[in-house]
Amino acid sequence: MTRVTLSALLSHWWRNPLQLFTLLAGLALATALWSGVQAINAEARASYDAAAATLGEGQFDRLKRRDGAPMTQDTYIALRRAGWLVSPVIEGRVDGVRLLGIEPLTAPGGLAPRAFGTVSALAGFSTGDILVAPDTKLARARLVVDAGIAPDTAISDIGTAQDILGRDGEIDLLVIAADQPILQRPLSEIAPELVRQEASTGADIASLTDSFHLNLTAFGLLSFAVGIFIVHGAIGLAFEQRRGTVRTLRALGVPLRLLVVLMGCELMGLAVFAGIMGVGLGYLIAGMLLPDVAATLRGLYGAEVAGTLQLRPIWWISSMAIALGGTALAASGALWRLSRLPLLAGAQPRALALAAGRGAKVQGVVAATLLLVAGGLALAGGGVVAGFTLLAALLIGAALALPLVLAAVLGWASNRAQGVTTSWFWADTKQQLPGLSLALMALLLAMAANIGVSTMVSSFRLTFVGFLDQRLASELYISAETPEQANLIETFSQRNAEAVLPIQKVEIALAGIPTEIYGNRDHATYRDNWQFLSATDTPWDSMHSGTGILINEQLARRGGIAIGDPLDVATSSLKVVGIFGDYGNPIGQAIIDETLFKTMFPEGSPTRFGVRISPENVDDFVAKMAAEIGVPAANTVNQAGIKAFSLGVFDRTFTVTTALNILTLAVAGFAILMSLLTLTSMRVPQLAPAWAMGMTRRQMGLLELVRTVLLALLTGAVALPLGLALAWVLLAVVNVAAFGWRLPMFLFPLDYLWLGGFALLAAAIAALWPAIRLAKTPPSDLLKVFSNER
Amino acid sequence: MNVKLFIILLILPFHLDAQGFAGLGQTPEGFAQPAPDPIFSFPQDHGAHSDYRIEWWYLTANLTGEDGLEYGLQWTLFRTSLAPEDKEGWASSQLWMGHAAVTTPDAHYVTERLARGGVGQAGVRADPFEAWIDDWAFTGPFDRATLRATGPAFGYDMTMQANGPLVFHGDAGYSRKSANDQASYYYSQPYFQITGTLHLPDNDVRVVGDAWLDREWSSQPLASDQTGWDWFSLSLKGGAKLMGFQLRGDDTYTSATWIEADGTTTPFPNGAFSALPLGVTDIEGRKVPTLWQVQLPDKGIDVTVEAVNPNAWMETSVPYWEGPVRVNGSHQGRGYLEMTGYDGVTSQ
Amino acid sequence: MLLAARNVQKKFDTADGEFHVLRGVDIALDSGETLALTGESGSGKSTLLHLIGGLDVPDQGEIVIDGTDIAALDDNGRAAVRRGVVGVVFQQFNLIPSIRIKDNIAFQARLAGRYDEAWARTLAERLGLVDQLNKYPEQLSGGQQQRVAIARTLAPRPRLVLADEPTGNLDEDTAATVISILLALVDETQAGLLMVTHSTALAGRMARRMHLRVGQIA
Repeated sequence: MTRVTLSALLSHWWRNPLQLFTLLAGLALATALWSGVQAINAEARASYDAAAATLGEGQFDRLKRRDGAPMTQDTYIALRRAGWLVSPVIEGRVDGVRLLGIEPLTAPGGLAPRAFGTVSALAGFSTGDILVAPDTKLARARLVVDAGIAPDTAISDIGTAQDILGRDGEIDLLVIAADQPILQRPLSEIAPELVRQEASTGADIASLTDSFHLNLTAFGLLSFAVGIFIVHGAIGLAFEQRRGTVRTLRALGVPLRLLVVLMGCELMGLAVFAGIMGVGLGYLIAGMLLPDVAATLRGLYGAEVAGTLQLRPIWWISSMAIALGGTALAASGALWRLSRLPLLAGAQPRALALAAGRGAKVQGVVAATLLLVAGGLALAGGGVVAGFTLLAALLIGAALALPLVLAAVLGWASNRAQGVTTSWFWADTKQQLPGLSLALMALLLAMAANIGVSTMVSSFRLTFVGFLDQRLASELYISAETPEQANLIETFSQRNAEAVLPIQKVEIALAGIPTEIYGNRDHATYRDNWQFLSATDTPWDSMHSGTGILINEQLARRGGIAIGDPLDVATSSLKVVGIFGDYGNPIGQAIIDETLFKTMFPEGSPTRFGVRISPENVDDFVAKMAAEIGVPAANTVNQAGIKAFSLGVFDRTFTVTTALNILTLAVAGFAILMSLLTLTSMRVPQLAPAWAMGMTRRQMGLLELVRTVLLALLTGAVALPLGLALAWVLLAVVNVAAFGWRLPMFLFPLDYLWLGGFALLAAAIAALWPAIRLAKTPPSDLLKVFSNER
Repeated sequence: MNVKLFIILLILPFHLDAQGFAGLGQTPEGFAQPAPDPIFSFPQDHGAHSDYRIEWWYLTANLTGEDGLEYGLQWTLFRTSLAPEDKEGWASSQLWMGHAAVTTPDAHYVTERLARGGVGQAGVRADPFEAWIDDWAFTGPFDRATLRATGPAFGYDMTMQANGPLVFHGDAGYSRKSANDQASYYYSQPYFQITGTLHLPDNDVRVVGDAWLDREWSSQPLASDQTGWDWFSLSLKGGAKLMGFQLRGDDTYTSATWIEADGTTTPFPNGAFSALPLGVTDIEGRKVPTLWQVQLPDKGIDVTVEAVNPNAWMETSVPYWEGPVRVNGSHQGRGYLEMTGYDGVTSQ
Repeated sequence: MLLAARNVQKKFDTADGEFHVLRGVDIALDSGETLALTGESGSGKSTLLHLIGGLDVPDQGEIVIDGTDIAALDDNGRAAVRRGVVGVVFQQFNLIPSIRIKDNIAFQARLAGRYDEAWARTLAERLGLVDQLNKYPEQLSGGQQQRVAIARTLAPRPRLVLADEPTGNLDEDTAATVISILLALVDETQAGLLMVTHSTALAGRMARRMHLRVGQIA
């Protein structure tokens, strides 16, 4: 009995391969979208984790010289002999690869690579082995591949690294183990030139790159929502199309329970198959996009992300879970309805969604509640969790409200329609709504996601480019290797350029927050280019008079500092006279006058210089400097180059965002296609009277197309404000909660127009085929409606 | 005392590979080997012998606090060499490990340090004598030394004075370990009077007592059938002392040195000394014998040796048991017990 | 007695309130006997047929088929009766569109675990379906589809055959032919036949006739 029943159920797919294809494709696309985004996220995260594990970043406090210069090995030994459990690290670059030298015996757990489980591994390491990630291009002997190493990073013994870098006896920083002995001598007695950096600060890559990840995570969540809608639609379709067969099977004596079990198994089998296809597809998508993502992250933040993809269990398992879980969720509802289906109900297919019409009131209440919750959170909420809850409530609430809004609009239009055809069109459109609403919800979410994410990325770009203009006002930047060279550069530049602006900083704590404090020279470069989020009337004058201080937004937000507040710096108290935007910086920043800086931090000396010079003279200047004082061109950075590079980085970000945008829209278009195909069978009886009364089939096909595009347009009208609200939540709520700075939001009407165009196109393409089929319906089929009617 | 060769190889935080590698394989090629009839030269031989693969400065002390309680103290510096020839700086083949512990009747504090040689973080200098790793130091002159160690939970600052001669085990310091000519150089200074302060989590305790220093170096590998050892250093009322150990294996191998109050020694060959476990303590699933019957019939010794604190487990890179003991029976006294090879957790 | 229904009552909830379709119907049928059930639209004849076929449950009364009161069975029990004891020929044929004619014919017999290839072949020959066996239902005319439905119903040799306006969708000539074959086959298998029809001509070919009026036997 089982075998006979199963073969009857499955035979449906052999006879209707197109339906099988749409079901599998719907499931696979939803899985692919989710898994593609997740793959990129997982890959990037794994790379950061490896980097963080290697560096101990975010885990251990560190000691560094106040002036940023390397310390000597004697300092390290002196600290150890004074009871400080510290471990030396040296950093440098070789062949474009970041080389880290560590000391394996003193490195705290979690800092040393895992490979030291054996004596020979340790012996090899301490005598010159270099650990690298797979596929690292480093022209050195004795490379040992270790998957736990971050991409484009090499780890060696500190002695090996000192040799390779030509820096014998030097140490860049000391990592402080978590457990320290009692009875330690104070740091100030042993090495007063060292400052302690808290674990969470320093070059904490994660907090920087998370900003970009937020983008992708939001996309992932949205694609998940879109995917669930599509899976739901596909499953509904699979049940709807076989309603007649199911009824016959039951009439012939197949027990209901057997039927439910068999259909459940069948769907799960299909879900596994489609899930695997989807994971494969997602892998391809991620594989194509990942090099751009990797380049973006490296360019923006200097974080190394492997440009190649590994099959990580976490994402393919989560993707399969989405395919199976989404199917189970959708199927359980459909199976439940199947089990309640009366054996003697009409054989005529009846869209499952029609039944949902009865729940319209409930749906309205739920939607209103969710939107109220969203509103409440937007006014009162704080924190990342509240931000994401707000996002979820907003999106689900809006999606649930969509059919009600559309019904209201269509009802209004129908009442005002004049001609017979027009008023039939509106009424008929309204009748289609329940069957299409799931697909339209998916379209709404896809469009809103695209508007929201595009707005966020574009706002980020605009802000960042403006910020670069402000920060990189000088035409040329020069790095000095030694204080002597710094003096030479300053003298040389004073003679050969319009102005030279030394850049000097120390890391201290202001209001308990780790902060880089800069000593700025009074120059028009700053006064002309810098913009403040808020400031007194004369911030520059106050600052250069030695009574004022300028701080970044991060410091202001975390320290709860406002304009006019006093701030203790070293021994004096300064008044905050300006707050500036400092996008992407994880730590505090402050600016004081150069003279005051030198008094407060006499040991610091400028290591970089900004040089004002007309752009066409930059090359000559660099060449002359190399010839006269021996500073190589490699130590200079041309401002135009940085800006071009930054813009290039953003262009790659856009490649990723655009590709994901198009994919989401394509998936949403597919949902519309499937819904229309589901409706086709029940359309004929609805259209037959109109045909009988004189409407041509061609006319009806055209109206079918117009109807879909119109519904998409109306959905787009709802999607625009929803997308902007989404962007606002991302920029003004989630970003602030997560990173401490708020991105100004800009609007891009032209972009939205394009997006709307794409969405309509997707809807039109989806509707085209069903419309053509409708226009070609044989008159005999339409006639049957009358002859068959009982 | 060859058995302590085990500890350095076992305790270093890396286990031997199946294949081993140059320098730590089954044949210690290239390293100097102990030879009979040694001629010691002091103070040089208090310092490191980096041409031998393995060496230690191993100090244990039985203490009495001003509060009347019994305490134990351990300060150990191990040296091992990855290759016979030494180099300057980070390229040095020397690895150092320190273990420090304080045992009270109801607590046991342990801490561990690791260091590379060649850069000054750890080492031993013969004259003026200093053995150190990080801020831990055994600072001479050798006969009137200070001793210090710290950990996250405890520390100590001690001063010591040697009130007797150095004692040489085996054949004048050439200590045979098996019929196969395996041996080490082995001498002790068991006559230290020690006094100072233990810094414990709750309070500081002034203490006074006796300390015993073992010095040993060799290059010999282990025997494959040996699973661990039990080592006793006992100071008896009346001034006599006994060092004895057994290697547990297919054939248990024992060795002992009887030390008169004046420092005169009598070495005993395999079989003269015996140790029989009478009671075990369950330490987180491990069955550790902490009550022993120890016999040396030639000297009329038949005593029970009982741990002051049975839970003196050394939770170090490779764990073992080391703690103070009380001696009762034919003789009274106190001492130290070290046991290895009991770290297998049994399911019973 | 093959079928004995006593005091069968059934009512439905409608928009105008409760509608009492069957108001206590008694019916009896022996093996090899044929019975026509006639009545106006809404007289309850199809409902009665569905109740006897185990497709629905009466509110009151008992329907004993071959000694079993199917009104007292649960869903699984009724499904077993449907596939093993009774066979229903529907007005709408209710073939499975995605499988071939030969598999449609064999379907119920296979469900019941009583598939007899020779008998199925005989049925196909008698019903003139030999040339259609590899086709799909949509490729057949209405009369041919109804023959397939009859073959499917008779393939497991059911003890009781129920037919609900089996010729309602067929022209007169075809209807006459189909009924002749059906009667002949029922006679051969000694099954009982209960046929719902509003055609007096058709009813005239049955051994007995019963007329249903507003839910009661007239």
